[in-house]
Amino acid sequence: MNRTQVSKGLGLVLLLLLALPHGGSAQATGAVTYWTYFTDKWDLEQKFLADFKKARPNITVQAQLIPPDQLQQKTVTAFASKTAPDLWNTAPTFYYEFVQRGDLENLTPYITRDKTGLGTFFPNILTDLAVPPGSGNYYALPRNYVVSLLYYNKNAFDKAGIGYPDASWDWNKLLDVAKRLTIRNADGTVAQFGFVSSPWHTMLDPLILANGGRVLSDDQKSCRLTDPAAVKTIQFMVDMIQRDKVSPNPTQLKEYIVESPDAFKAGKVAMFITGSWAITSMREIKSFDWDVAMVPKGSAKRVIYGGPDTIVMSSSTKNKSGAWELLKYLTMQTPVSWYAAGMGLVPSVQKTATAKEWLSSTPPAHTQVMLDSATFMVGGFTPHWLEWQTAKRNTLNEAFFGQKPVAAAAKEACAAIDKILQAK
Amino acid sequence: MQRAGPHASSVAGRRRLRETLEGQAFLLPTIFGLALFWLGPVVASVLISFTDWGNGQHVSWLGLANYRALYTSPLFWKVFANTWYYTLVSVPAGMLLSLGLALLANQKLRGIGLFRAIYFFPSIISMTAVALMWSFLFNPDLGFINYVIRRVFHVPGPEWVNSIQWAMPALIFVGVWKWAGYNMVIFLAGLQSLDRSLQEAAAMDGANSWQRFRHVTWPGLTPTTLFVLVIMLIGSFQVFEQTYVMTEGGPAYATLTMSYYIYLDAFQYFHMGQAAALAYVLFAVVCIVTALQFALQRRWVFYQ
Repeated sequence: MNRTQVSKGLGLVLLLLLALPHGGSAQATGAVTYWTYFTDKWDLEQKFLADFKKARPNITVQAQLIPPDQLQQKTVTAFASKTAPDLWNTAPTFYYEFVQRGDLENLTPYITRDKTGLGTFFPNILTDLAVPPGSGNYYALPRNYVVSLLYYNKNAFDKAGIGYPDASWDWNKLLDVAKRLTIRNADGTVAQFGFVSSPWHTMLDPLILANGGRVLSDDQKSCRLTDPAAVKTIQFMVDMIQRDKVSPNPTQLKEYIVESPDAFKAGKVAMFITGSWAITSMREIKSFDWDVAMVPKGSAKRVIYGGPDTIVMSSSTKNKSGAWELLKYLTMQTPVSWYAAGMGLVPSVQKTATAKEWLSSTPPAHTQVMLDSATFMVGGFTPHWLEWQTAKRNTLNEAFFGQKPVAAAAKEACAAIDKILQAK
Repeated sequence: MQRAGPHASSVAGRRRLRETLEGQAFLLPTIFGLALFWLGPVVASVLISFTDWGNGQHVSWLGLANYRALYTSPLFWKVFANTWYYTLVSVPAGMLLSLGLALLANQKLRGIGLFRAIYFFPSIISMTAVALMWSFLFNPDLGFINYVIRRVFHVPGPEWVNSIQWAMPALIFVGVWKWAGYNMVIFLAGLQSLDRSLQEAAAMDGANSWQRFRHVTWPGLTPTTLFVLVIMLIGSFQVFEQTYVMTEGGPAYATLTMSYYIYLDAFQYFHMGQAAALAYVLFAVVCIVTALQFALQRRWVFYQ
């Protein structure tokens, strides 16, 4: 019996177990509406939901694909018109917002009733989902997580005769190598930048924490970017652009920096930090070899940006038992093939993430880095996250563009952020 | 022939009344639709602008607090200034360009229809597609515009949408490019409705082409100009798609305009009340500017 047969057999057993009556959910019937934003997984999702239909013939799933940038707006509008879906998937970006608005069902009673084994998940991705922190109240279960990675152009390293990055690197080492990897043309223009520095949450915020600073106060009610450790970190990132000139100006386009890093893909940048979600897009690279390494450690510790994509249940759903069955299925039974296609999304279930089928789906060669990074992962999400992050980025950008001293920009950032966090 | 007596006139009156009622009955669906889908939301959004709706499930009445908060917010004034910046540059530039194109396209040349179609073409493409196309062209490293600048002038081009200074000019350029052809057609219609005998008379009196334009064509064209000016002002105060697609209001808020700010506030940050207040401020600005246009028209618009 080979491995796929074993996993198929296991899957069948799991399906049978799921179909067995247990607790109060055995009679779950009726329709469940479910919205998802994973565009490139839509085919796999439909196949997977067909399997659910076989195991749970009494539950009808009405699944709908919503483009990622519309999901939030659509959900909010749906709540206003009382037509919210029973389940939907949400990034941590908006999770706390939904909880605060009272839109989400507290899942803890269901977890307790069914004795759902939360130990199956990576422990630290669950921690972030408890509201209030440490309370054990979960309004979501994770389906996958994403984590920041240091992407690097292997050919650029080979040409410069520099060893590839590894877990031993800190940020000074990164700056050092970035200087050596920055190549200028005869006319002064830059043929290849060593790195891309920016005030995005995927890079700046964790580095501030890693250097012993803070972004927000513990109660998440005030901004701490004016603290010396934070200012020093921002200065370091600004210097990469303005003084060391190893990085281009921070680009405003999210396609560029967060989602689809065109500059790295075009070979114009040798090292680049963004989320694991970019792997799907990076696989289009044909002109050079690339790999990933762990995000370097700061002066105090190592902190890496990351967080779970989750499935949540509407507090106004009419079919709670049916919705709960599907929620469990989506978060705990999603097969490894779903994650391995395109990679980028790390399975939230430990056993799935350590399966060979996932780990050996390359490039990148070092998929294990995504698992090793999980221990250092911090999301930093709060209510009004998008609003204060946008304010942070826009105010700090004046320093990144060299138009304002860092201290002044940080002060302006904190004034704007405090106003958002302290609003009723 | 029977004389129309009192009886007949009352029959006619009744018929007229019936026709009126019938006519109004035909309007009912439209009136109903307008009331439901237009007037309803208008009234609702006025009310929402006085509340904190969107922050949670509990809604409270705030009075004028949303409007006061705008007045004291530095970001609002930045957005306000950005919107004026966009308008004050894009409207004159757009008018000049479309008038110029109209004068060119008004020539009697072989294949002029083709040129008119080419100039008109951008206005039939969706703004989102236009903005996406130009964001590729404006890409500082890989875009065609900076490639040309590098090859021709041997200097690196501006960072365009990645630059605090150049982002807004880039957005303005895209807006002007997209609408020039559309406004050209309106100007062209204006030009062709002018009385040619006036031109000929002026030419016979020895007026050169500039004098003919300045004293004959231009006065005749002023009603068209007023129309174009009003729709361009309204359109540019509401600029949204370029910001949404090309810059998301950045960098450093350099391109955050009123419409996009309303969208952010309402659908990204959930401050429906605040966003509604902002929308009514924009509405007031557009109303005042348009009213001003109509008040000032007496001084420069010449009706034949």
